[in-house]
Amino acid sequence: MFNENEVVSRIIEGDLRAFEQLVKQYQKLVFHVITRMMADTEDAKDICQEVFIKVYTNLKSFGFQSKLSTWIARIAYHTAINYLKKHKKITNVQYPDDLDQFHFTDENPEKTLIKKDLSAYINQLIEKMPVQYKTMLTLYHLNEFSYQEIEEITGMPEGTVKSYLYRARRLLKDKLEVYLKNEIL
Amino acid sequence: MKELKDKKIQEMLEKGLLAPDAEMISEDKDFKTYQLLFDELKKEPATDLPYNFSAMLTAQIQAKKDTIINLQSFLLAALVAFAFIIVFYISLSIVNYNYASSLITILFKYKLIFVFVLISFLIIQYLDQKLVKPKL
Repeated sequence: MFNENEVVSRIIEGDLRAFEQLVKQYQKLVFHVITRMMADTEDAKDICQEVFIKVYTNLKSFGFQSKLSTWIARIAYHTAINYLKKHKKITNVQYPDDLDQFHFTDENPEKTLIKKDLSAYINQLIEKMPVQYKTMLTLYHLNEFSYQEIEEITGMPEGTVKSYLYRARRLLKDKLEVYLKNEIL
Repeated sequence: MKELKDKKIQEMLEKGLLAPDAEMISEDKDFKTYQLLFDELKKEPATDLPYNFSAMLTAQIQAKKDTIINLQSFLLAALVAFAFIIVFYISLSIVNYNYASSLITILFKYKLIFVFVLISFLIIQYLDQKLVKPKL
């Protein structure tokens, strides 16, 4: 059983085995956040390392103001955002002007092969989405954070989080309807 | 109208189906599509970090800590050596001032050689830390 308080105290005292336990506990969470936000996953492992090094360095300032998972997810989210900004892949993070106008474009014929696998197809669609939609889908469905926790992680108001999540799911559902119709035919 | 329906379905799936209209709604095509979507969104991706990621990361942090400790030990040793030289010179001056003065004169005469030896020693130590010790 993973005891947050005990593990954090041991890490602060210098116990690296406790830190290894923490990494094992949260590496999937960090990996999911990072890989969903990055189009290019080659750097994902290095960025995950960077996240955990930041966790280790700043653990003394954690203070149990929130859940440890929320705090770590926040570090992962902001590290990914800084990376994307540094490589000029995004500019306005929270309220981009054209987010409401986002629609999926028609696929190339070659990519229709992916449609045979529903999971692969959904993942391909998610990859094409703006980073804000991808983040909300990952944090809510994959990492199972609540709206309030997502607000803490991203700094976006709960209303914005709900709005992004609603729109992202609706876009995916519309594509899924066409996919299921074609599958039946 | 459609937007309100979509919102309602999404909210129902977030909270779980609620009676009394649960059975009626669950047969709805849009609801079934959303349900399928929600199930797919929960599935973890196929890719993952290497199985020894946590061990590698911990070893990396340990190596950095060891480097800092080694550097601190080295600086302490340098400080102690320097203090020893000062104490030695003061003691020698008390015993035989002329001999101590001659020693200082020789040191200053060959100062560049001593500085070269010291810098070479420091470079070798640095390269040993960076290149010879295995990277983890």
